[in-house]
Formats: sequence, C-alpha cells, structure tokens
Amino acid sequence: MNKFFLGSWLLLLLLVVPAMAQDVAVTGSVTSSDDGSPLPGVSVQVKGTTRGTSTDATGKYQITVPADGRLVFSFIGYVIQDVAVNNRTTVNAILQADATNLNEVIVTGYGTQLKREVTGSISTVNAKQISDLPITSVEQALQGRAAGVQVTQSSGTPGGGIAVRIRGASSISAGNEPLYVVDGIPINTGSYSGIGVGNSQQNALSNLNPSDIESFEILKDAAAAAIYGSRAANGVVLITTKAGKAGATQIDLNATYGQQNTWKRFTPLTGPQFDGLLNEMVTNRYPKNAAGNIVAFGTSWPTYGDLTAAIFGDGDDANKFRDASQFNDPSTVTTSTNWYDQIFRQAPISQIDLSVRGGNERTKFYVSAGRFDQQGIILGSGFNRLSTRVNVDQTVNKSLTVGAKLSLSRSVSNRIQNDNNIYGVLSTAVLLAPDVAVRNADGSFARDPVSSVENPLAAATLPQLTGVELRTLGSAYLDWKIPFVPGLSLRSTASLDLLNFREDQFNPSTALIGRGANGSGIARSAQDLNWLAENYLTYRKTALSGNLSINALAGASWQQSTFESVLAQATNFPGNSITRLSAASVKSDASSSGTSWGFQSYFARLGFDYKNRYQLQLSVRDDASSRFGANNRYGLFPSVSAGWRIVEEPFMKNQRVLTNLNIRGGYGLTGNANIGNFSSLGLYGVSDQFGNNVRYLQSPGTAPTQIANPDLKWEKTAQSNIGIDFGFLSRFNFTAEYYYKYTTDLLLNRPIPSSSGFTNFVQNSASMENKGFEFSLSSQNFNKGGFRWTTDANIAFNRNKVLSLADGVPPFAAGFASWVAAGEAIGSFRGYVTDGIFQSTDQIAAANAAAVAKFGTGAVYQSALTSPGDIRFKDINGDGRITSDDQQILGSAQPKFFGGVTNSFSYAGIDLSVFYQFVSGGYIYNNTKAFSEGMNSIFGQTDGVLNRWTPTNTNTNVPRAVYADPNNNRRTSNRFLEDGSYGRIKNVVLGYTLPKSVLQRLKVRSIRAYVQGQNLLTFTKYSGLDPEVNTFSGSSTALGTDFLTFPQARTVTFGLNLGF
Amino acid sequence: MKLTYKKSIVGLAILTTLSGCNVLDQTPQASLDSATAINDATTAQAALYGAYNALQTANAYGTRLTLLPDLEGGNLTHTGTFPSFAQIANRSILTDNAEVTNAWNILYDGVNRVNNVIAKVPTITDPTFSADNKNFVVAEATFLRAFYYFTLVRLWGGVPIITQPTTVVSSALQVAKSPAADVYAQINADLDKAIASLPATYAGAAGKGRATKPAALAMKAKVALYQQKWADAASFAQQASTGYSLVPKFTDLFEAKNTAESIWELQQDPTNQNSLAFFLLSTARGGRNEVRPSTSLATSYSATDARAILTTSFDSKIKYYRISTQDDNIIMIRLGEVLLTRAEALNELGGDANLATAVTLVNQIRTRAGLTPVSATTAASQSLMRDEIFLQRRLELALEGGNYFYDLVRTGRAATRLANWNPNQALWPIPNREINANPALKQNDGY
Repeated sequence: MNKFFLGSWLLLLLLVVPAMAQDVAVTGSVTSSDDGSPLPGVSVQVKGTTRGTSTDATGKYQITVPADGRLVFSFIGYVIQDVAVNNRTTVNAILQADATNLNEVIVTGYGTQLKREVTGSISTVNAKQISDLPITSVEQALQGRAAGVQVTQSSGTPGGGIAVRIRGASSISAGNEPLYVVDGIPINTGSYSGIGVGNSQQNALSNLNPSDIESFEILKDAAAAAIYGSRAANGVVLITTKAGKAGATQIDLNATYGQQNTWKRFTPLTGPQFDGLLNEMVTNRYPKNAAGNIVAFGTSWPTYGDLTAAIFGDGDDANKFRDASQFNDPSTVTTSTNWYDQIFRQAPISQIDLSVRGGNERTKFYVSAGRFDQQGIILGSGFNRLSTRVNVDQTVNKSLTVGAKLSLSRSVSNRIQNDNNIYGVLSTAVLLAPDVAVRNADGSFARDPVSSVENPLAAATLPQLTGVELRTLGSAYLDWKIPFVPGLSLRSTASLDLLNFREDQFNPSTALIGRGANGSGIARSAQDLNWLAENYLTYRKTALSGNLSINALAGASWQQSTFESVLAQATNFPGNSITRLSAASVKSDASSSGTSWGFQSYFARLGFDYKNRYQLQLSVRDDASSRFGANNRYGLFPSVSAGWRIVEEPFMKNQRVLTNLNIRGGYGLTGNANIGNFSSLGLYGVSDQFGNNVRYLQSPGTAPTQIANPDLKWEKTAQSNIGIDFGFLSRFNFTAEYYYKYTTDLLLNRPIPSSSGFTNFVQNSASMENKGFEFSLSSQNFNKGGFRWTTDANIAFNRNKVLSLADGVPPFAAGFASWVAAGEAIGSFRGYVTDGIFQSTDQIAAANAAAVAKFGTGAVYQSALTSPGDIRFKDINGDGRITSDDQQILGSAQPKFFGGVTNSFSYAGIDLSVFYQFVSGGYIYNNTKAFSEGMNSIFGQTDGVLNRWTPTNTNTNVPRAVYADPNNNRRTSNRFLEDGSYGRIKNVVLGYTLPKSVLQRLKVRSIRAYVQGQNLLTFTKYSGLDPEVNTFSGSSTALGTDFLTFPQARTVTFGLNLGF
Repeated sequence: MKLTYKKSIVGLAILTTLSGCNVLDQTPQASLDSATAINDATTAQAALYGAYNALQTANAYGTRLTLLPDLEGGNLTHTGTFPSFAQIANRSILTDNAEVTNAWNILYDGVNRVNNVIAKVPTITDPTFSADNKNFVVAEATFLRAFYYFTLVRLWGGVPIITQPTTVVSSALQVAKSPAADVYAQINADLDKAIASLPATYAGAAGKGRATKPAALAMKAKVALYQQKWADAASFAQQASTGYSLVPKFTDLFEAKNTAESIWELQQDPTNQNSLAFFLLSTARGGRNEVRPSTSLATSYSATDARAILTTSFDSKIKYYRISTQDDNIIMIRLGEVLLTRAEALNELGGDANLATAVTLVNQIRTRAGLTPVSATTAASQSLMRDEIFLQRRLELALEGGNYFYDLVRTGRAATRLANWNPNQALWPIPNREINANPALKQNDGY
C-alpha cells in the first residue's frame, strides 16, 4: 500500500509540476470608481479560459493565473476591465461605472439579452430606482420612469386599482392593462372582490412585495412582445425577483416609517351659509305669483322659510329637523360641521423588509420577509401585507441547474364604501349638509332625515369590510445543457399562481347601510388556480470565425386558470356584536360560481448578430385559447426586427464623441385575448344580462344572456417601431422612438336595438390607432471630486384615435360623460356647451320666441322654467332649441404628453434624488362638482357656490341656486370639464450613508438613513382634490372622471437601511 | 445518477405536455347553451319563471315602474340623489335618462324571454311534458307578453312589436315603431289567447303569482278602458270579478300577502327581493329616502280614509314596508281596481241603470275605505261620477302600478292637474341609445 501510495504521489507531482511552473496565485480587491466601496460578486475570469471566480462580500478574490495571463473583471453596470498579471501576486481593480449600460443584461420573454443586442423597444426600471419609495403596489414603481408607460392610480385607496397604459389604449372593451409576467409566470391581475363598495377596486398585484423585485422590463413594441402572442397587445411587464448571489451572505434590513395626509381639502359652506342657500333655492323655484303670494304644492305659504322648511325640514310636521325661522334668519343656525375634517386624517405608513442573500458557485439563494402597513388618509381604510420569498438555484453538475422560486403573501385590505354611493365615506362628507351635527346629544350619530346620505363618521367607522388575499406564486425549473449538442439547452418549468381572496362584510343595524335589513352581512371566498407548464430549447452558436452569433429559441406552453367563488349573504342580525352570518336569521343569498380559461401555445425566436453591427431577430407565437370562437381557435403572432449598430462600424472607430449609435426597427403582430371566457357562446344564465338573479316563486329561472358569435377572436395589433440610440462622451445616453400601432378586430360590445331583448352583441369589428414619440435621456452631468449629479428624463407623446366602429354602429356613451366615436380618442368627453348665463327675462323670452316661431306654441329654447341666472346652453345644431343633438365632443381625458425627470446627486455619503412627474393636456370630468356646486337640493356645498349668480352678482359663470334645477344646469356640459394637467414633485429622497471607517468600527457592512417625501408639491389648475383620478377604476372607455373619489396622499417617510 | 436525471427531465417534459392537452376545452359553469336551454318540462318552467322575473327587477315593477309614474304624476316627490329621478319628477326628461333607458331594456328583455318560451315550448319532445302543460306554459307566456306591451305602450306609445325570439344579429333587428293602435291589437290578441287557455287558479296562495284566466280578463278590461272600449271594459271586468272579494280591512292587502282580493301579485321572498320599501322609506327606517309621498297626495285623503298615505310619519304604514327582508309582494291587479274599472266603463256607457251600478261599485270601494257613500248629487251626475271615480282610483291605487299618471294622461286631466303640462310629456322619450342603435326608430315628439 505504501508503495502504491508513494507512487501515486510521484505521478501526481509529475503531472502537476509543469503547471505550477507557469502559474501564480493572485489576490486582490475590486472597488467601485464611484466611491471606492468594495464590489462583491464581480466576476474574475482568466482570459481565454473557463477558469474564474468572483469577489467575496468584501470585494476580495483569489485565483491562480498564468504569470503572463490576463484577468477580466466584469460586473453588471460597470465597464469590463482587462488587466495583465505581469507576474504580480496582487492585482487590484477599480471598475468604472458604465454610463452606457450597454452590457447590462435585459430580461426578455423566455431569456435574457445584453442591452446592446436589443432590437425591440424595452424599458427597464431597476430596484435601485424605487427602493426608498412608499409603494403599495408594484405598478406605482413604473410611474414617470419609463417612456410611454402611463400609470394612473385611480384613487388614493390603499391597495386600490391602478391603470397602466403602454403606448396608449389599444382596446375598447377587452381591457388595456398589460400582461404581467412574474419570473416567467403570466399572473392573474385585476380585482377579485365580489362585494360592491362603490367604484374603487381591489388590486391583485398589490400583494407582490416591491422590495423583492430586481427589475421591471417593459416590452413595448411588437418585436419585443410578440413572443407573448395573443396577450401582448397592451405590452408586457416582465417582473424579475431578486436571485441569490455567490459570495458572502448579505443580510439587509430596511425599515421605513412615515405619515400621510391630504394635500388639499375643500372648503364647505357654513351652516348659516347653507341654510341661506336652501332658502334661496326655494325662493327661486317658486317665485311669488302676481298677487304677491307664495304658492306651491297647491298651498299658500306665509313665508319662504315655511315653504323651505316643508321641503327641507322633515316630512314630520311635529318634529321639524329644520324649521321656518332658521331659513328666514339663517344667522341663527349654530351648527357648522366641516365633514372633511371628520374623515380625513394623518395616517401612518410603514414597511420593514429583511432579506438574506448569498451562496457559492453551486448554490445561490435569496430569502426575504417583509411587512407593509398603510392606513388610508380616509378614516376606516387601510392595507397591510405580509410576504415571504425563497429563491434558490442549484447547480447540480456542469450541465444541470435546478431551482425554485416561491413567494407566499397575505394582504389585508380594510375597505370603505366610496365614490358613487350614498354610504361612501368621502361621498357623504361631500354630500351631507353642514348644518347637521356630528353626533346627537345622546352620543349617537346624527343624520339628516331629509337626505338619503349617511353620517360620514358613521360611514367610516360602523360598517366592516375586510378583504384577505392569500397568494402563492411558485415555480420550479430545470436547465439542462444538452451534452451532445454544444450550445443547446432545455429549460422545463412548472409554475403555479394560486390566489385566494376572502372577504367579509358586516353592516350593523346602527349604520344606515345595515339599518333596513336590521344588520346585513356577506361572506365570500374566491379562488383562482392558474398553472403553467413550459418547455423550451435555447441554442447559441457562433459561426464565421466568431463574426456571427446565432441564438434560437423554440418551445411550448400550456396554461389554465380556474376560478371558483362561493358567496353567502344574510340579514337580520340579533345585535351588532356577532358579525358572522351564523347569527343572522334570514339567509338572503347563497351561491357558488366558477369559470375557466386555457391557452396552448408554441413559440420560437431566432436572432442573428453579425460582427456586433447587424442584428436581425424573428419571433413567432401560435396561441390557441378556450376563449376564442369555434371558427377561430388558433392565432399566429409573428414579428421581425433589425438593428444596425453604426458605432461598431470601422469608420466610427477613430472618433471619441459617440459611444453609441444604433438604429433599430421592428414590426409585428400581437393580440388581446382578454375577451371574456365564454363570449363566443349563445347562453342562457341563472342571472340575466344586467346581473339580476333570475328567480321566481322560490324556484330557479333562466334568461337569455348573450347571442352566439362563433367567429369571435382576439384583437389584433400591428405595431411598427423605429428607434435610435445615441451615446455621447460616455456621459449622455439618448433614445428616441417612434411607433405606430394599428389595432383591428377590436372587440366591441356593440349596442344593438334592445328591442331584440339584448342590449349588446360582442363582435370583432372596430379599429383604432396609437402613434407617438418617446424620448428618454440619461445623463451624467457632473462627476468630479466625489460629487456626482445625474439626470434621467423621459417624455412620451401618444395620439390615440378610434378609426372605426362596426358598420352601422353609432357612437356610444360610457361613464358619466365619456364617449366612444370613430375619429375621436378613447376617453373623449361629450356634452352640452355653456353659452353664458341668461341675465334677463328678455333674453329668455327672445330665445323662446324663436323656438315658438319654428316649432309652434309651447315650444321653448331650453325649459319652460328657465329664469335669469340659469345657464344658456349653446344651440349647436342651430335648430332654435336645446335637444340631445346639441352635444359635442368637449375634449379627451388622454394627455398630450407625460413623463418624468429624476435628478440624483451624491457627495460624501449624502445622496439626494428628486423625481418630478408630469401629465399634460388631458381633461377631467369633475362630476363631484355637479353635486358640490349643484345648488339644487339638500347636498352639502363647497365655497364655489358663494360666487353664484344673483341679481346683484351677475358677472359669474356659476348659475343661480334653484331647487330641483328645472333648467338642468347640472347636465353634462363643459361646465364640469377641467384641465387635468399636472406636474408634481412625486418623490424627494435625501439619504446619508455612513463612511467606511465608522462601519468598520461598528462591524456593519452598510448603514444608510434617509428621509423621503411623496407628492410634496403639485402644480395643477384642477379644482378637485387630486388630478390623478378616475372613479371608473378598471374602465377602458370612461377615463379621467372624478366623482367623490379618494384622493392621493402626501407622504413623508423616514427610513433606515442596515447591511450586515 | 446521470441516467436518473435524464429520465426525470424527459419525465417532466412528458408530464407537462400531457397535462396541457385539454386546456382548450372549457365549459361555462353557471350558464346553459341557448340551443338547449329550453328542451324539457323543467327548463321550460325555468324559462317561464325568467319571464316573470324580469317584471320584478328594479328597473321594471320591482322599483322604477311602480314608483316613477307616481313621481311623474305628483303622488310622490323626489327627495333623493338620482338626477334621473329628478328629471322625471320635473317632467323634463333627457333622452339619455338612465331610468328610461333601463326600463326600455328590461321590458324588451322580458319580451324576448317570453318569445323564447312561446316559440320553443311547442317543439319540445319531452314525453313527460304533456300537451296540456305545454299549453298552460305558452298561455302564461302569452299573457306576460301582453302585459309587457301594455307597459311599453303606456310609457312610450307606439313601439316596435317583436314576437319572435332573437337568435342572430342582423339588420332585421332594426324594427320600426308600430302605431299604438297596432300595439293594442297585439296586446288584445295575446290576451284573447291567454284567456282561452289559462286555468282559473293555481294551487297554493303563491299561485296568485302566476297568470290566471281572471288575471287575463282583468287586464283585458283595463286595456279596453285605455282604448275607451267601454262595453268591453265593463264586460271583461265583470267576468274577472268572479271568485274574488274585497278584503274588509284595506291595509290587509299589503300586510298579508295574496289576499282574496288579489288577482295577480308578483311574489317576492327574502332571496328574491325588490327595493320598493328601500326607495320609499326614510333613512331613519333604513330606506334611502329617494322618493316620498307628496303633500298633494296626502291632502287628497279625508281624515277617516283607511287608505291614507300621509307625508307625516308616512313610512310606518305605506304599501311597501318590509325593509328588512325587502320582500313586499307587488300587486299587479286586484278586485278593487277591477270594480273601479267596471264603474268607470259603465259610467261612460251612460244610462240610468249603468250609472246606478257604477255608484254601487264605487260605494263598495268607499265603504271599505271607511268613507260614506257618494252623495246623491254625485250619484245622479255622470260628470261628477267621472270625477269621483278618477279620485277613487287615485286614492285606492296610489303607488300601485303607476296608475295615477296613466289615468291623468288617459282621461285628459294632466293638462289641468299638472303644472306646466305639455302634451309631449305624456310619453317618455325613446332612449337615446336605442335611437342610435336602431335608425328605423323615430323619436317621440318633443325630445
């Protein structure tokens, strides 16, 4: 044995010694040129070999290199450095930040690309850009940061709906939200709530923890997105979560705490002002007759106060809530409640995230846990989220890698009634009169017996509505480098998106919403199981002595999503202490339902890159879906794109000005399959087309709900894109793009004569276009002496137009004032046009006389009861009277341009970033004003009405106060249309990072403290509470409408980042 | 080792491929294919119930069509938030009024439900579905179709007449208005068929929820009244009265369901609710206070009238009050109305004998309400009796089926009773969306 052992040793030495003779062991550290901080995870490669390592947590490395060899240091975001060893044993490297980012890795559908290889249009938002911001839901991260991506929070509701439009709206009825793909899984999005609380919606995306996200890639054009086929027409947002990194384990703890509040409130009338207004309304409505008497309702009234009290007092004469004397002398009114102050509050927001990230060459992991807690600035609203994530990658051997990503989250929303709702919290604060006290003498909530609206404080505090969303996002993958064919590898994944949404509502009998039913409750549970199985092959090869690189992809995908829900509803609770339905004596509803969809897809991509100069990429996807009609099961979505990297041409080699010059263009087809799961079938339902349950005599009934359309298919968008990328002096990068999107076969819920029994018929018929320019700039303005200043800016101009509706399909209305018509943008507003105010009875008489001359006795210009102080509407068709034909397009909710500018500064550990976001040129229909300045009824009014028309205040555009508004001054008109442009300092972050010297003493990797402000300043002419608004959350056609909607908050947070 | 993972790769790939095979076959879980939705006795019954149900919905008699005509006629005043209600209360209705649009839509949806039953039931081959039972189902549906059109013609005048189910979309759906007279002819034809086939009663109290022969006769009499075919009205009303009696205590009509007086009464239960009480009652009682009885209505009752609907503490005893369960039945026609129909027809026919019978009928109503019989002067005068019958119809039928407004229009009293009356206000506008969707339609005058 000994002999043998010795012999082996000798043999081994013989083999090894020749190698030892040439190699040296090199150590060194790698630091950043920015601040000299060590860079962990930098790849250190021996040039021309596969030998390599990476730097540890302190930026140090160790490697064996041929003494005359070269080391290549590479790290994402830094310029690659190639250093000769020259017999040294210590080689330190200082990496320069790469302002061009051309070697940045970009996630694309089913793979990654280097930024310089990209021929399509892809915008990236990184974790770094959003890490300090108070973000509830991930879409907020994109606002103002990616050119052409318009993000609108429909309201300030915590965890509420957010509209994202990538290069405009490309659909009328099938939804305009992009496809969200999280780590390769096209996930379910939207609202899972089945309990109506007004208009604001729940948002399933809000249970992803933004802190777990490494990057967002937004696939904007067809060349980038067509690989997602029939679901890519609205663009695709790829979300990549953080992965493990080889190197020392890093523990990061981030904690923030802050406060939110309104940045604007309305000023309501005081009690005396309000009662005076009520009296004036009635006086104007019932002028004294020729004999000087006040006659109304067939009775003569001694004073206007008596008549006003009969209308606005209370039906019960014995116990007037308001009496004649207070109307005759409003100064005696002592109650002046400012309801806004009752329901708005300063509300805390906090977040704490702990993550552990590390691994070695074989195993890499990222583990995190986070808690986010936000109370809304309106009493009663709130949202919190608990989330955990485990991402693990394991290299089994040199050809096989397996891994899994798993996140579990639980989010709880405390929801309140809102918007178009007489029990809504803000709604009632606007609509309840100021002469009502907050509470009665006995401590109970006071109500106005004349009004149908709830006491706002009761609305905020009494009803309970909690939504609990549990979500599991999991995927397991396997990557196999097929040994027989170099460059070929197989990836096989199985993924799951399991969402469970449970909600419990309890309306106690003490709240008006539950009073009639003597307490009412709903319990509902919904589950969506979405699974995905994908297998695809990728192939990379270089040919022509390295001049041509080829990459290819081909695969197949199966996905199915099954939704199920159960609902129970009950009324008549014994009291308000047991809130579960088991206590209720009348079970008023019990139902379960379900629906499902499936996709079977094949996809392929082929890319060529010749000498880094000429690039060509082709992609195709073939989608079949259960949603498509029997006659159109399969859809093919191809794309082609090409790029010319001029900067790589030999004739550019000798110049130093341009660091990048690249022209690229592409064309392709994408689809929108969001057409409803069974829209192609003719159906009879157990609830009718309007949503009523069909029952009679305690038996089930059925009703026809839709007409069959076997031709139904996806909407088809053809998009061309051309872009140019410039880089100057390694400091400025500029991208300009132009695109044209032409969408045909738009699904139209086409109105048909409802005398047929159906109001709509779903068909592919309309067409629409979006075209526009996008510009983005990133600039390193200054970088000397440790002071660094960078600017990132983007702006996009989109023009949207509906080109045609189906033959014979007339324009149709949506929302309150929105209008869909060929030749107009989606989100256009239509209505009457004001033409000043009638100042005298002579003017009215003249207008009426003209109407009589044309239409005969009895005809009037507007209304028989039009009086001085009423609005004169414009007779647009010139026929002498105001009819529904006198309406026209008033403007569009879509902005002319929008974007954002971020300026970041850093010096000596201090960092400051200021993010300004703007939207310009869109209108808002302020329907809140139609009530809060309506001056027609018992509703609370804002101070705008103080400028109302009276015989002594005639130079105004606010009409007179008149009970019941017989002239319809409140009709849909440009009176309520306002410029919705705004610019706001969206975020300011000021941070301080402790210097290394201190950290070393504390044995801590990093400490940074910061203060952040959101919505610090808003510049707008809009008179409502916030210009970023849409009460029709989730609507494709009714945009930019404000109706009693929860406004955005101003938020200040303090944060601490600790790294170990 | 190597072999194992290769196998597992292949295994995984095959597994995912196989599991994906059927993703394209998904079927609806809460709907039926329309082609087979009515194919046996059970599904026919369900489709028929669907046709009744449309009448109960909030946009039909479940709320709007019961309350809105009374709001328009002045029995109710508007105290709530809906601008669309305010327009109707002011009789200044815009063509995009949501209530008008929704009512049109649900009524024609009901017509289509009925047409499906009438067209498909006779072709069903289910052996357990007897010819007689098929006839009953078709007759009920035919009665409902008459009632849908009677509602349509009163609200809009001439309307498109559709008698076939809609299965495909084509330009043939753009049907022009038929004159009101043709609509009435269609109504009468359907009622005649229904009268010929319907049974006199159904088992159980809830049987009053379904169309019977007396219900069809009563409706036929009412239609005749609107057409001023007095002899028909008198005769059919008399036939319809058989087997029914006035309940002694007026309020029992609403506090008990399905009384001996009720001829056709839409049935509600806690799982099939309507919003009548919710819209009428004050917030203090859990309603939404959208409308409330007017001073004008309240002052029309004398102090002793058992039917009084007062503005003061109105909401403790109103015709719809079951706010916690929202299951007030909706009486569509009852003997009280049939007696007044007959009285009016006889009074219009004239002649001493007819007048005397009319007086007797009116006195039955007055007596039950706690009033004294009509005075001798009134009883002797056709004209005074005309006013008396009109008044009694208002007092008796307030908040029921919209009768008051229709009576104001039908008797020509609207011009004198309603302020700022314009004859165009007799009809609602055809909804703007319908005019847009159907170029063959012409808007009603004045809109």
